Amino acid sequence: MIRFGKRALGGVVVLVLSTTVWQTPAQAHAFPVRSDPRVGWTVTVSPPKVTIWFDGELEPVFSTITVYNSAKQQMDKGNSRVNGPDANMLEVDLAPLASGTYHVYWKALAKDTHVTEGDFTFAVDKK
Amino acid sequence: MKQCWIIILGALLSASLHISETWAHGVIGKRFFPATLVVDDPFASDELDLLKVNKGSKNEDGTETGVGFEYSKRLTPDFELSAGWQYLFQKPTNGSSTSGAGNPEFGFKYVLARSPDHEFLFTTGFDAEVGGIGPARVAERISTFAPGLLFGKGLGDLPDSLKYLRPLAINGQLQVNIPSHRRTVTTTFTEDGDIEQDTEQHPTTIPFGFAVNYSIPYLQSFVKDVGLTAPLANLFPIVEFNFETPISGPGKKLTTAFANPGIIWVGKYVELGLEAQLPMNKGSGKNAGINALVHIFIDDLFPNFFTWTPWGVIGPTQQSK
Repeated sequence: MIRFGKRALGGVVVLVLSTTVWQTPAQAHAFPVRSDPRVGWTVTVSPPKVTIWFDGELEPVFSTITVYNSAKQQMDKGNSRVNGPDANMLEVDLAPLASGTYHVYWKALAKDTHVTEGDFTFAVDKK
Repeated sequence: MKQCWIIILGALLSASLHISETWAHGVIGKRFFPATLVVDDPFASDELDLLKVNKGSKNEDGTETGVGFEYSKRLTPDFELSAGWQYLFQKPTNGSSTSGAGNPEFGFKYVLARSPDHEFLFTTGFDAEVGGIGPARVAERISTFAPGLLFGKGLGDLPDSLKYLRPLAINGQLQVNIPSHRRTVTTTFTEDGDIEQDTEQHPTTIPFGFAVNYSIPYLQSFVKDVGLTAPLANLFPIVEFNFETPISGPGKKLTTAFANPGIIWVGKYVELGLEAQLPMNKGSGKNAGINALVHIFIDDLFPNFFTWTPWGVIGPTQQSK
């Protein structure tokens, strides 16, 4: 039975390795990897756009970013888009931002139709 | 039989062509809860514990190590069936080591309520170990039935002043473990022809516990990007506490208690977990044990296959109630 156990364990290891190495990026939900401006950071100049990189490819339709200032006024230009050559990247252009804190809301529809959503803040301090 | 295979094949093909909007396993609001190693999580999911290892602490009976798996399958977005099995290695304090297949375990979970905005989930569940299947040297002869409640709560709704605590999440479980028989009597004949009877008590117990994890992905995605990159960006430091209190029988009120600090790493398709099992009182054992988990997100690997049901591919699991 122990010999069988070792074989089974070997099979398990091979299967795990194959699943971790196996790259099928179009088949999983998308979570954010990084963003520009970075989550929770303060920048000294008004950023022209907000960009979020995800760990999976996105469907352009229904994947959106909106940005609000502390007075709850929408500060993005409403042109959220998945970057053409890089389907992992979602971005939106911004109007010029004054110093203050801004709230970014995003919603991402992955290729397999899993939906993820979230929000974060960044600040502008022009000094 | 041939017709049956044709029907199954046709159903699988139709499932593979069907697309519906679905939400990720273990996600409530913007919170992802990893599968925990000791305390069950409250999500109804399509998932596979490919390898689950528990090397228990040494107690007065000896040590036991279990190596097994568990498969969970949703039939509706809120209802999950599960089946699991373990191979057991036992080293009694008095006696020689032995091993063998344990009894199979079956269960279900039903999500009673969820609040994505508050990252909260409340679930009821039922587990059953079917006694007498595994060999008597390692497996119980009796069955046990365990109705219970589970919950999960992320702290994402904390105020800004406590924003660095928002990545914390807690999930917990409370069960009643009811044996099918209060006691079993084993009768043996000695070499002298005498009859010996050995009576074993099977108490009703209350297993309960909770797990607290700090999500680095949550910290970096929603609170502050502290600059960690993979693999550190995918970590969930965690500590689980589990207890079991007998409420009948000779060991009444002798609670066993363990703390299980460890780390969970979550990739795109695989979760890996490793914890120490530390006894918290004398009755729980002497030295540290180990918990390990290899968990596969099968609904991400083959979503149309593993979320298929006879009534269609399952839709969103995250919906307001």
